[in-house]
Amino acid sequence: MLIKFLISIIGHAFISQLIIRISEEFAFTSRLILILEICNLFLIAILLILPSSSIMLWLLIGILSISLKFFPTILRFLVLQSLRKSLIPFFDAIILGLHAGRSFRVATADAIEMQTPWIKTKLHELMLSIIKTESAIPMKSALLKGLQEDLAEIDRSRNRCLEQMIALRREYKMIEEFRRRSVQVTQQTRMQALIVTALYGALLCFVVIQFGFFEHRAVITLSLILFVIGLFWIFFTGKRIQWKV
Amino acid sequence: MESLAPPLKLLICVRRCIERGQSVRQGIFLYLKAPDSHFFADVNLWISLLQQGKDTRICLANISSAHRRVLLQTLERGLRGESIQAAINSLEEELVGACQQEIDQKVAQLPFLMLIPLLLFQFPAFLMLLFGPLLKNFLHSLGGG
Repeated sequence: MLIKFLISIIGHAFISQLIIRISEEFAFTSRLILILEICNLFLIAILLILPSSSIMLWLLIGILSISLKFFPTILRFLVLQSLRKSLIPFFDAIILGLHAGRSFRVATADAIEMQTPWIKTKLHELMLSIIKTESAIPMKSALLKGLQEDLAEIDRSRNRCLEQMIALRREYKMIEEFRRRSVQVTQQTRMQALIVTALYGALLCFVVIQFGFFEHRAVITLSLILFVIGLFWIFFTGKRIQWKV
Repeated sequence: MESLAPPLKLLICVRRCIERGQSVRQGIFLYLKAPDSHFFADVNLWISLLQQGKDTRICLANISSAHRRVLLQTLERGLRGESIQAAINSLEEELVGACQQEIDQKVAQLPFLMLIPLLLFQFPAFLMLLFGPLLKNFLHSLGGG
């Protein structure tokens, strides 16, 4: 019991550290951090109360930690998607500010205040690195890097900011429109590959369970080879689609 | 294909530089900062030929797309000092239209292209997996029976 208690305390501390690190990166609200910490505590307490061995407890803590380790990557991807979507409204807000007679920096700062916490943090970092060039924070994502360069260029020019912002918004709108439409083409190949693979996997499991693998290994291997060739063909078709214009 | 068409990217870089009061050359070098496709190599060769004062006609003739060729010819005029703002704007409309048409064409073609691997490889693989063990068991029971 004492060992189980010790393991659960270590696990709780470890997961709590991970939650704090994630919340710092993604600017979680204190309320959300509190909810996550309480969930963590409850989970560990339930695991402690349930009749299970200490190995089981280690295993569950390990699974939870690994999930939390990969969670930031998935969350970063999702948040970048939402940032991509909120860029046009962000530009709209800057342009409105410029129309109202504010300077580029003030209009941008006001527009940043309207964003969600994580986007706000990222845009603050971005704006800070534009204003104080000596403390420039290197942006990991290509989207933020491009945005940083574009906004820095407008900030440096200090004249015709409104016209430049309108041109930038038009460009981002066009890029977004093309990205959405061209993704349609490549996504179709990926979806077909995914659905066919899932169906094939299910059928393979059924055949192996029902008829056994060793008795029919020649047929299954041949079928698998054919299927993989088809799969490669699909991906090759997807890769081969290039702009001709 | 998950981004802008390369000539449209080049055109946007150049237009953006012109709007900022920078030169056409700066716009071309802005595009050359991020290599993305075969067109990058063409532009690189074309600009280096121009910088050496050589004839670019052969280089342009090797480019298969008419849109790319016309864009580079327009930019060449800009590099010589002519005003190309109006030409760039109308060329942008042309390119956007052509890109949209190409996407529509690809979306229409894709279902047929995807049928080929499905019919040639994956459908037989499914049939083999489904009926292979069944047939083998059936034949075995006939032989044994």
